[in-house]
Amino acid sequence: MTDQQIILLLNVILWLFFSVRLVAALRQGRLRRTRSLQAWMIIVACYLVAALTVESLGDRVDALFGGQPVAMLLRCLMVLLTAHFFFTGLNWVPYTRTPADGLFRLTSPLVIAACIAAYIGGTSAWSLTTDQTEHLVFVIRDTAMVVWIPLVFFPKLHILLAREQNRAMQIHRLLNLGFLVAAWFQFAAGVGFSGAYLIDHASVGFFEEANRLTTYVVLLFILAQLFPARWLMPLLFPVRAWILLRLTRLERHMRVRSYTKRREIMLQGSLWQGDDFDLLIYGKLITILDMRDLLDASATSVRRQIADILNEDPPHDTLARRLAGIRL
Amino acid sequence: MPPKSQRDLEHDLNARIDALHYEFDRFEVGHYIQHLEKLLSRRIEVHAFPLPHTIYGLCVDWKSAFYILINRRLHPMQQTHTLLHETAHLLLNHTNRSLTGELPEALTTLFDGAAPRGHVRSVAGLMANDDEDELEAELFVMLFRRRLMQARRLHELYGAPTSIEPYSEQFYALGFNEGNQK
Repeated sequence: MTDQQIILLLNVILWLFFSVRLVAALRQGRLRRTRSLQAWMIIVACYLVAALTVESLGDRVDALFGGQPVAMLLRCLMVLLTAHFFFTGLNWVPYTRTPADGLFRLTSPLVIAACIAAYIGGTSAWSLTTDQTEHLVFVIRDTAMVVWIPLVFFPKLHILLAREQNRAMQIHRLLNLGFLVAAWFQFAAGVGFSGAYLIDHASVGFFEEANRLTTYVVLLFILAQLFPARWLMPLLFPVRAWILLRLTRLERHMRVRSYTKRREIMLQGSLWQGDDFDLLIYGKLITILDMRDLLDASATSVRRQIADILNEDPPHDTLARRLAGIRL
Repeated sequence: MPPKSQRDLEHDLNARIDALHYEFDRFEVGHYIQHLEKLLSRRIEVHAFPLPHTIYGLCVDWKSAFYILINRRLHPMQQTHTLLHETAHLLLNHTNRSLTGELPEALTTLFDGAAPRGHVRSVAGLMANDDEDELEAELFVMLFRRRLMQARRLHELYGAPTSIEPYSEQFYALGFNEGNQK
C-alpha cells in the first residue's frame, strides 16, 4: 500500500465513524447548546485537517482556485484554528490557566498572519515554487506547534487528568495526551522535513519518513477522540490486573512478617467482572492497611514506605497505585 | 447447627442489603447513616477519635443510641470500612458483648462509667480470628462495597461523563456516555 492509500483508508474509517457518532448525537438531541456545538467544531476541524492530508482531495480543492495551493493554506489555518478552539476549551476551568497562556494569546494571531503572509508572498511576490511556498508556510506553523504543545496544551491537559475522578474520562484524557505527544512528533518531523527541503536537501528523506509515520499515529488518535466510555473502560483491565498482582505480592510479604491470623474475605464471583476485580483490590488494600500495625521488625522498610504513602492521604485509586509500587 | 456455607451466608447478607432499599449511587457516610436511622428508628452517632493504634473502631449500644467511634488516625478509606463494619453489627443483630477491659480509660468515662457493650474492630480481633460475628460483619462490608462499585461503574458509564462539571456538556454532546439522557 502506498502512503496515500493508507491515509485515504484511515480517512474513510474516520469519516464513517464520525458520521455514525454525529447521527447518534443528533438523534439523541445532544447538540443544543453553545458548548455542544463548540465540542463538535473542534472534532470537525480535526477531521477536516485529516481529510486535507489526502492529496487527491487537496488537488480538487486547488483546482477550484485555478491551481493555487489553497488546500495547503486551508489545512495550515485549520490546524491553527483547531489549536485556538482547543485552547479556549481547556480554559473553561480557572485552574488550567498558566503563565504560558499569554504566550499563546500573543503569538497565535502572529503565526496565523505570518502563514498567510508567507503564502501570499510565496505565490505572488517572491519567486518561490509551489513546494517551497508550502514548506515555508508549514515550517512557520509547525515551529509554533512544537513550542505550544509542551508549554501550553500539555500542562493544561495534565491538570485535567490529575483532577478527573471518572475512570473512563481519565483514559480519554490519557488518549488526549497521547494525541498531543504524537502530534508533537509529527510537527517536529514537519519542521525537520520543511526545513531540510528549504535549506539542506540531504536529510529530507529521514524527516519525510518520520512525518509520514507519525501522521498515521495522529490519525488513529483523532479516531479515538470519539470513542465512548464503554469502549474505554475495558482498557483498565491490564492496569487493574497489575495492581492486583502487586498488592497480592505485598500482602503475602506482610502476612508472613506479621502477627496476624487474619482470614482473607473472598466473595463468590468472577475475575472477569470488573466490579469483582475492583473488590479484590479493595479487599487487599484493607488487609494491607489493617496489617501494617502488626508487622514484626523484619518488615521495617515496608512499614516505613506504607507510612510515607499514608501521610499524603491519597484517594483510593492513587493509594492502590502507590501501594502497588512498594519495593519489597 | 452446622455453620452456613459461604454461598448461603452471602445469599443471606445480600438479602439484608436488598432490604436496606438504599440508593448506592448516592452513598456518602452521612447520607447512609441518616438512611439507617430512619430505617431502624434509632439514633446513630458517629465520632472520630484518636484511638490507640490497636483499635480501628467500635460500636457501643448505650441508652437510646448506637454510638460508632472510629479511629481518626486511620486512612479515610479504612475509616469508612470500619464504619460500615460497625453498622453491620447493628443491622445483623449481633449480640453485644462486654467491652470492659478492651477500651481505654478515657472512653469508658464517656459512658458514665457504665460497662459498655458492643463490638470492637481491633488488632486483637485480627490476631485471634475466631469471632464469627466479626467475620460476618467483614463479609457484609465486602458485599456492600460490591454494590457501591457497581453503582460507581454504572455512574461512570451512564451518569455524568466527567467529574469536572464545566466539561459535562461538551462530552455529553459527543455522546461519551451513551445511555445518559439530560
